[in-house]
Amino acid sequence: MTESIESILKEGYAVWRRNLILGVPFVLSALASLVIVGCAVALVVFVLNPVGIDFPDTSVDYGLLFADGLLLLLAGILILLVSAFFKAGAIGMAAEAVRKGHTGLDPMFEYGSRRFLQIFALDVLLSVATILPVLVLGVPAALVALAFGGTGGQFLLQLLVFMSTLLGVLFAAAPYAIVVSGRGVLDGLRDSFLLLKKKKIPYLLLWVFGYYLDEYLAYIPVFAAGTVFAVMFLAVPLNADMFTTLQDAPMQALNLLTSLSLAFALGMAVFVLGIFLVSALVIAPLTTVWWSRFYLKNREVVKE
Amino acid sequence: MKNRIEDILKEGYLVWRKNLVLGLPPLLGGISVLVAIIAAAVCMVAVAVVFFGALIVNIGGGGYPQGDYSAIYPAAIPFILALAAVTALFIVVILLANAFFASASIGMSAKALETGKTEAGDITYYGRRNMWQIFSASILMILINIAGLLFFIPAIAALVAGFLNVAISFLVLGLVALIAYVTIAGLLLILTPYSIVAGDLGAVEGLRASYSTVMKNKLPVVLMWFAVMGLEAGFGIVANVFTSGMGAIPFIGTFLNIGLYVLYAIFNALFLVPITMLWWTDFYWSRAAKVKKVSHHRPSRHPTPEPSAKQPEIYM
Repeated sequence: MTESIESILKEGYAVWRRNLILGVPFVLSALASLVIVGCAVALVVFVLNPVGIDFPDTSVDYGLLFADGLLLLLAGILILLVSAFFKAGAIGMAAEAVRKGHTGLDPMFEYGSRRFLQIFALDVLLSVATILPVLVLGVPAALVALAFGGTGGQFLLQLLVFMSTLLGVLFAAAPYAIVVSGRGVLDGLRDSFLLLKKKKIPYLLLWVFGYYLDEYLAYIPVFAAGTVFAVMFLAVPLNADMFTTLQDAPMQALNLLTSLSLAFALGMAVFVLGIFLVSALVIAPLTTVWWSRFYLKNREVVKE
Repeated sequence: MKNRIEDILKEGYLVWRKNLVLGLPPLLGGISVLVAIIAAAVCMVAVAVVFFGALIVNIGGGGYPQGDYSAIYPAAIPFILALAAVTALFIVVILLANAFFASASIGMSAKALETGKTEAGDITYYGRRNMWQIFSASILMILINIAGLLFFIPAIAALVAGFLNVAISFLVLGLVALIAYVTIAGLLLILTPYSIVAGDLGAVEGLRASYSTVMKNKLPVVLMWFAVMGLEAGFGIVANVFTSGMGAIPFIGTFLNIGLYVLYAIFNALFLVPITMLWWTDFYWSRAAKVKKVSHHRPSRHPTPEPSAKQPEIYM
């Protein structure tokens, strides 16, 4: 009898607890993406489009616009490549942790450098497969609806949600087949589909569990942000007769605005930091360990 | 006894396939709630017509001094009381209808899981069997949820004392605490109707059994909860594509969507609700500690003969 989904979740959790280093690839991936975005924006703003004090020319420079677009596209590709490297590395680390009980950073570089191109190709392929039906089916339908006085925006959005969910479910195991078993991109897709076909219930349960865990753990940063905002709000100089006196006291109004903005900004900062920490250090490594374990325990069924 | 969630889900689906009649109680329950809501709306309109009719007659007939309508406020009290009475009455009616059909659904699910077969005639038997316990448990659960409003007491106290910023701060904290409390309470009591029917317990014992079973099976309960939500969300995503597509059609889109919503509600009653009930019932049986597994064979004075192999099975 194959391992139950409960056992996979419990054992995977224990493996993650013993190997908190599994969060490193996700943290590095996020930081690297942030640096790339920062550099790209800085290049666009300060090098390609320097806005001087005298900037009389308001005509559209198509060459510059093309250069901006090209730079942003290159930045996007670079982000995909970097995240593919760390994703392959994280799966390699997780697979080693599942097999041996412990892991280090070496598998990250080893698997990352060996399989990142395949993971990159997979990500691009899945993105195209998600968007293509929306472009081919959704956009003409939305345009026809628009011509007759209707609106198709909601349809486009729902179609996009449907496609990304469908492909996300069908090929959730593909990166694991590519990294752990060294399969090619198309073979990885095939293996994932066969795994779903032969292990429907545990596969879907694992996918759903990862999805909702992500959703519900996101409450933690929301609650933390709410608490920080509430505590900060204690320092906001509000009182019951404030609204009658505010217009006569500009300094009081400025104080109020500053402390309100500070409370809001701190709350938002805690929220963003919390989402980043929960996502990179808990959810992503945990789901990677679970899927690695599930794939390793069941990969024989796709060969039958 | 099954212990794997995978087996419970598979078994539930197979039992549902053989017992499509399990969709009947949720369907009838939905229809009865709809009828109750329409009846409540009609009653409220009738009360309003009577009140405003009397008011117009009074004003027209000089019942109130010219320009002085302060006498209207005391006259409005019976109207407000009548509206409150109608609302309370229909809330009780809806809770009772829900309790009856939930009891029927879970009882039939338990019988189907135990014997492999249930039939439409079981609705009244199982509906009546645990209706009052489920109704009482529903009231208790509503009260438990309402107790969450106590988190706002510090905010109200600060507001009354005139500390506006403290009041807003406590309001935000109260909201955070309320969301966490309602979510956790909902999860801890999720097995209550199943423990009442499948374990044949009273309302309070049902709540206790749900709490202890959930506490002893945290991961499996969360897994089942997510599985149920995932199933509903999966079909919801497909339904959204269709409804948004229809909604894009000018003029007739809205009418087509009404049809789609009705179809989805029927699908929900015939598939999603019964399969969920089968899963949770089986889960309760397989996970509850020292569960008193009550036999769900329906006692009958006139046992029906076994159907012949050639006889077609009529589920609906």
